[in-house]
Amino acid sequence: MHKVLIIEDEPAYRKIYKRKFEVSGYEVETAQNGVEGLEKMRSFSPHIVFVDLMMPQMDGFRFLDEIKSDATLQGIPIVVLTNLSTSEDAQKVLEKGALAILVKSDTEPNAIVEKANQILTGATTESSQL
Amino acid sequence: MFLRRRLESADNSVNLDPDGVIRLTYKGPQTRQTLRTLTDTLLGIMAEQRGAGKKVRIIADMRLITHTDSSARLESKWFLEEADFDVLAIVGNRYLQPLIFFVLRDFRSGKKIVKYFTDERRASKWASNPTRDINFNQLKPHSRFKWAVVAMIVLIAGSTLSSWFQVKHRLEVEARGRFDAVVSNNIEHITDRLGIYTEALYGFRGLFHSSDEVNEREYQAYFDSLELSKKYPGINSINYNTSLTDAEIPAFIDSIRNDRSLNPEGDPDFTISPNKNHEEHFIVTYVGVKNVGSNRGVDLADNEERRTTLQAARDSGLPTATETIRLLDAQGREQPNVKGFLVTIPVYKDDVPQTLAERRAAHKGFLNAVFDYQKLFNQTIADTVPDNVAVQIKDSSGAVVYDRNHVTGDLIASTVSIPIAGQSFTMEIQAPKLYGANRAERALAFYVLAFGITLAGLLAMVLWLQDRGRKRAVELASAMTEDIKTERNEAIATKNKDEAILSSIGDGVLVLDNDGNVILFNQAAERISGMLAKEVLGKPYKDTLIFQHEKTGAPADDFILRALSGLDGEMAARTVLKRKDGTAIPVADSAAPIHNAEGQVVGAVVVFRDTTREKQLERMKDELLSVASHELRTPMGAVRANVSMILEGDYGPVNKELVEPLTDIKASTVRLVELVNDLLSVARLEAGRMKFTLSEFDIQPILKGEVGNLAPLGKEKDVEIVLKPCDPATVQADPDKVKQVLNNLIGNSLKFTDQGSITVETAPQQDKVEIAVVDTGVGITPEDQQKLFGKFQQITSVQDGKPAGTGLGLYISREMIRKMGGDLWIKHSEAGKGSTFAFTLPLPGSSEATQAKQVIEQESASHPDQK
Repeated sequence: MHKVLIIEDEPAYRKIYKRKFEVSGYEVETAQNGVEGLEKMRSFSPHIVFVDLMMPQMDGFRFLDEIKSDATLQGIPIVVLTNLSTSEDAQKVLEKGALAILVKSDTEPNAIVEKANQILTGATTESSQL
Repeated sequence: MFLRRRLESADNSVNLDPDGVIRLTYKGPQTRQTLRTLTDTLLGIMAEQRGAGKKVRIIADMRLITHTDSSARLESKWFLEEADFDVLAIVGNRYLQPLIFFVLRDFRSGKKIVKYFTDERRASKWASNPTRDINFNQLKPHSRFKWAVVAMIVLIAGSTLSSWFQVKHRLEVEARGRFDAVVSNNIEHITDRLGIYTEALYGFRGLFHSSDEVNEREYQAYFDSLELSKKYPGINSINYNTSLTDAEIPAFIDSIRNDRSLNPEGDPDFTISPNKNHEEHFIVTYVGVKNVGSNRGVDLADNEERRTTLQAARDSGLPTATETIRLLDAQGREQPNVKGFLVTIPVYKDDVPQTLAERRAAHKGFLNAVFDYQKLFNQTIADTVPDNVAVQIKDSSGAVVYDRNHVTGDLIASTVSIPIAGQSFTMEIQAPKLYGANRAERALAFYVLAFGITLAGLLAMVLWLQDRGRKRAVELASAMTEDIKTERNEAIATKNKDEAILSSIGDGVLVLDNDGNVILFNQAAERISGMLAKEVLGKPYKDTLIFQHEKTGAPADDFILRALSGLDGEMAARTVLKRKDGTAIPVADSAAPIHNAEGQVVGAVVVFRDTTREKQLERMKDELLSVASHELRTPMGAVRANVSMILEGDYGPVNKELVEPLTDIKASTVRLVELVNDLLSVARLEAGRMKFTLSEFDIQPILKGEVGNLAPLGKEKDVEIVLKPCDPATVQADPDKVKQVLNNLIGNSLKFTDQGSITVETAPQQDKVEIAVVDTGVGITPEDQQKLFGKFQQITSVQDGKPAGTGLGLYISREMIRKMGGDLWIKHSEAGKGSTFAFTLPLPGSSEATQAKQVIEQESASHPDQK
């Protein structure tokens, strides 16, 4: 069973994505911010991570920076899931090592799961979809 | 003021340049007066300006119209900028001959000299060293001339008066001489005459002394021989009085009555009257004039004055005169108005005895000469004294006994005493001052006076006129200077105003001359740049003011260079300006060329504005926009996700009746999200804040990818989405934006196409590639085509049952394509037969591509935080 870590400060989204991934057969762990996410990265050792950008304490950008600077956490695919929609943000997160960026309001939950599946199975090489 | 009015009314003007040059234009009659006035006026201004420590150049252009209708020019120049002289050159034209004259004035002493030339060459030669041949010591100051004239007036007045007095005096002396001659003649004559009378009496007495008894006939004979009226005019008569005692009277009366020596009947009626008792009687015996002897027998002793006079004469033996007496009439009565006197001479028996007693004893009677004043003086004076003198004679008591031609006023007079037989008369002779002067002589004095006064008056007038002329010139000068002052003040006021305006402008204003030197730098410019005007002015702007590209730091002053090269209406640029302290401040700047009247570029005006605050505001606005969109999306996204999951059964089986409303909720939510996205896009597009990342790429893979992405959706509707095979074509565009446009166009077609196909095809053209999306859908009516590209425009007629859009898609697509140098339009559409939407993308290097690149770069520079 694939383990997915959802780092999301908004409770509604945490519940939605937890439910979606659970019904899709994932083992799900959630974190409310980047700090908690980093802890869960180590304790939970997820196969894939979905991270929000706008979060208290540690936002998504810094979270990506932290991952990048920790050799032990390298290699875990990270997808940014946000409601920030600018091309600049997208470019920034991709530069910071995210595999893809998805806009929450524009993306069906099914598509998110599908994205996770694709990454984990290596079925697709397309990295981003705006 | 009035000079200017006069000048201006004659289509002339006085202007003051800001650099202190007075331009005087005068067109009017050329008279010496005009020239002098103008010259004095200009010199007056020069002097005033000199006095105020200012240098003034006067350039006067005067077309002075002469009667020959030629024109003249009046120019003034400083020949000696540093010398002590104001030099005014006046070039005139007189009688078609050039007339050049220079007016030099030592502005310290006010000495003035005028040099005339009729030859231009000589004039300019002289002008090269105008003071060379001038001895300023020879110059008479104006005031000395004035005093000379005053002195002359005084002199003339003085000599006039002196001459007048002399003439008058001489005339008076002459008159006096004439008068004196008259007087002395007169006195001599009167004295002579009176002497003659006395002589006559002496002679007469001889008759009595030579005979014991003189009868009437003898008396009458002698009397007649005297021819009184002829030889002795003035003597009324001469009578003989016999001295008698009372006792002798009867015999005397008897002898007279019986004296028939002259009258045969004698004088039987002879009596004594008044017959009174006196110690002695002096009886008028002979009167010598026939029928005048009616007063024979009158006793003169009865009259006291006569008696005492006769007695005194008897005692002295000398002729004696009475005081003024009233003469007797025929009856022996005194006539009140006939005055005169008697001169009596005593008659003795023989010669006049030596002693008084003998004289009394030998005394017989008296011979009396009777003088009537009027007759006497009329006779004597009328003959000798000219009519034009007045004569007044007083007797010894002071009573006026004769008065002729009485005159008053300014007189000359002479008083002489005329002794007559012991009595003394005073004669006063009077005459006018200029006695005897003729009319010409009398007028001479007046003429001398009049001439002198006239001359002095004329000179005074000359002086006054000259003085007035000077005063007027000074007035003109001061009025003009006042004008100029006013004008200068106005100019200063205007300048101050301009400067005030410039300094109160919040934007930095920088004015450059043709060479890029700074000639104006306002306060805001100082504030923004941190540099003071004095550090910047007069130097090339590049030395101090560095405009840089915001990101690269490269010089970014092209906008100024463009303005200096005359390119107008450049769009505002956004750069940073390096401040004096080294920091860079974001500025919005623009530059425009300055043209002169001939249209040549003489400089540029650069305006720049500190945009720090603006940037902050923009950033805030941008953040607000992001946050707003983020915050809107968050709940909408949650709703959408939940509804999707409910419908998909992620939360358990769904009641069939709920499927439809849940589907509607989902569609609405999706639409809301799209709306927010589109609105955000529109806002960014319109503010030039949408980020375009241009690159050159082959359009084929993009088209393939999008068709591939959307093909499954078409399949759902049984619509085939295909890409028509075509050659590779490299375009310049933002691939993401192209994808978005394709998505929008294919999506739209899909919405309105229920069956058939959607074909994407490309057509390379000269410098662009045309991409068309051809569908077999419902088509669009011409009316709808018109409004299709407006904001929020939806084609209601065909929308029933179709998925709703935001109405912004086509607008956004077209704006994005245009931004990239292409266009988007409806190529073809027919209701019921489908539509073809096409857009173009420029080939790299085409003018459209270059222009788009420029615009996008500019916007990018202005909005570095584009999204």
